[in-house]
Amino acid sequence: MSLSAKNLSITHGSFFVLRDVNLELRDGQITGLIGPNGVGKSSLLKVLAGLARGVGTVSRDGRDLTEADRRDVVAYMPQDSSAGSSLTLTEVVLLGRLGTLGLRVSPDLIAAVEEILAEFGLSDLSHRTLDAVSGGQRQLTYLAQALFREPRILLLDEPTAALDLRHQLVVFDTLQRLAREKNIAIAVAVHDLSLAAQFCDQVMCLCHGTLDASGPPQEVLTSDRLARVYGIEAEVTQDHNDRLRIAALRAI
Amino acid sequence: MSLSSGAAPVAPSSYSRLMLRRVTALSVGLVLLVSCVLVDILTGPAWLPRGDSVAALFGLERASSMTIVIVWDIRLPMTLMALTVGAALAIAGVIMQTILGNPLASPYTLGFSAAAGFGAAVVLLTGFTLPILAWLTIPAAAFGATLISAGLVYGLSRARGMTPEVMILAGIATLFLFQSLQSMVQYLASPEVLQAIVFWLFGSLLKASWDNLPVTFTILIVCVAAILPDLWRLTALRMGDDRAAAVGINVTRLRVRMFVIVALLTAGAVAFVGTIGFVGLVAPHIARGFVGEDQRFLLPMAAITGGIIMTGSSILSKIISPGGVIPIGIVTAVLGVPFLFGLILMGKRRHW
Repeated sequence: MSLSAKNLSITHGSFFVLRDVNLELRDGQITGLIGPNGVGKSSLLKVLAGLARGVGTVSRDGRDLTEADRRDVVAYMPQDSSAGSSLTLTEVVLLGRLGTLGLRVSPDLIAAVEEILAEFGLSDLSHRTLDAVSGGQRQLTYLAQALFREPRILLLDEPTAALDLRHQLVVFDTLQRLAREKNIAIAVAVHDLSLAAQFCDQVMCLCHGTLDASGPPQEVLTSDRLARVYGIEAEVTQDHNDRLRIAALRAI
Repeated sequence: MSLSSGAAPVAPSSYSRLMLRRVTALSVGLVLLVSCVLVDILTGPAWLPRGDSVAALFGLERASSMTIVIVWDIRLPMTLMALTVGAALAIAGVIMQTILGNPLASPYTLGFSAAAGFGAAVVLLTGFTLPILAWLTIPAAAFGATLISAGLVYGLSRARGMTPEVMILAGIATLFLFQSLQSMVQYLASPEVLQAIVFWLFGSLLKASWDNLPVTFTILIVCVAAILPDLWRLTALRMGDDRAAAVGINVTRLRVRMFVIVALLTAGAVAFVGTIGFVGLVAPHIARGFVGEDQRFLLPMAAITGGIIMTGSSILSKIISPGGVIPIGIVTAVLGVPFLFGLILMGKRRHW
C-alpha cells in the first residue's frame, strides 16, 4: 500500500514550483524529502496533504484521492513559525481529534493525550501554555498532535528544526517505530542530510522544480549530487556498518 | 490572574482539576454578575427606598405603583439591555480577536461602529422616519449601515483571500471612510441635530425599552446558537491558519461565517444603545486571563465579564451624578482603561 503522485505540478501564479513530479510513499517506510531552500518541499507536502492545489493525480492503492479525501487520511505538520498562544499543551494535542470533540471531553481521551505527551517527555508541562515552553517543546507538542490523529499517512515539514540533538534522535526513533509498528507511510522534509541518511528508507531530492532523484540514501546522497543540488563540497563515506557519513566541507 | 491556565505546572492527569478551576471561575463570575444586576436595578436617579424597589422587583403587593413602574418599565429594561449588550460585544470581541489573530481587535476594529454612527447621523440629519415603526428608524439605519460596512470589508478582503492582514486593512479603510462621512454629516447639521448625533454616539442605556430589548436579545441568542457548533474550531484557530487547516478546518469558511456573526452581533448591540466602547476589547482579555483559550469556557466567561462591566458602569454612571445619568459609553472607558492597564502590568503570559 502506498500514496503515489503522478505528473504532479504545482504552480504559484504563472510560475512552476514543481513540474511533473512522480513519487510513491510506501507504507511502513520513512521517505526523506531533501533539497535547497525554496525548492518546493513544503508546497509538495501541502499538496499531498490536500491543503493546497496541484495539477495531476494523487492516489492510494490505485484509487484517486481528491483534496478532501487526502485531508481525511493524511496528518500534516507545518513548519514551525508560530509564536504560540495561551493554549495548553494538552489542548493542542486534543485538537488533533477535532472532529470527535464535543461540549464534554471524555476522560479516556484526556488519558490518551497524556500518554502521548509522556512519550515525548512533556508530561510535566501538559498544563503549561504554548507561549510558556521552548520552541523545541512546541515542536514536539505539534508532533504529538499529528500522531494523535492516528493517521495512515504522516507528512512532516522539518519536524526537528528547533530540536536539540537528543530530541532529533528521539523524534526520528519514534517515527521509525511508528512506521514499522503501525505501518504508516511517513514523509519528512529535512535539511539535516545525516538524519536523512540514518533514518530514511528512501530519499527524494528536489532540484530546479523537478524530482532530481529518488531511491535509497546510498544512491541519492552522493557527493556529485550534493555539489550540483546544494552547491556544496561534501565528503560522503560509508563505514563498515554500511552507515552513510556526510560531512559538508564548504560552499562552492 | 491567579486562575490563569498559564500558572505553575501541575501534575499529569489533572486536566479535570483545571476544568474545575475554570468552572469555579465561571461560577464566581456569575455570582458577581447577578449581584451587579441586582444593585443596578436598585440604584437610580429616583432614590426609591431599597425595600420598596425589592418588593416591586419581585412583584410583592406592598410596593407602590410608581415604584413598580420605575423598576419594571425603566430600570429593568436598562439593566437587561446593559447585560445583553455587554455579552454581545464581549462575545463579538472574542470572535474578532480569534479570527483576526490579533489582541487589539474588537467588534469595532473593522469599522462597524463608525458605520453605525453614520447611519444614525444621516437619519437624524434628514429627519426621515419609518412609516409605522417610527421608533425603529434610527436603530434600523445604524443596523443597516453596519451591515453595509461589513459587506464592504467582506468584498475587499474576499478579493485577496480573506487573510487577517487583508481584513484588518480593509476594515481600517472602511472605518476611515465612514468616519469621514459621519464628520461630513455633522458638518452639515444644525446645532440641535449635532447635539442629538453626538449624544447618540456616546452610547446610552436610556434608549432601552421593552420594545427594543427583545430585538437585541434575539439577535444575541441566534448568534450564540450559530457559534456553538464551532467552539472547538475557534479554539483550534488560535494555533494559526496552517495548523488549524492541518487538523481539518476550512479556515476561510470559518472566518467568513464568524465575520458575518460578529457583524450581526455588533449591529444588534449598537443599533439601540449607540457605540459603547471598550467592553468588546477588554472583556475577552479579562476572561482569557481566568479561563484560558478553550472557547467552551472563554465564550461564556467573556459574556459574563461583558455583563459585569456594563452593569458595573451603569451603576457607576448613576452614582457619579445623583439625579442624572451619565451616558454609559463614557463610563465604560473610564472603568475599562485602568482594568486594561492592570492586565498589561500584571499579566504573566508572554503572549496573549
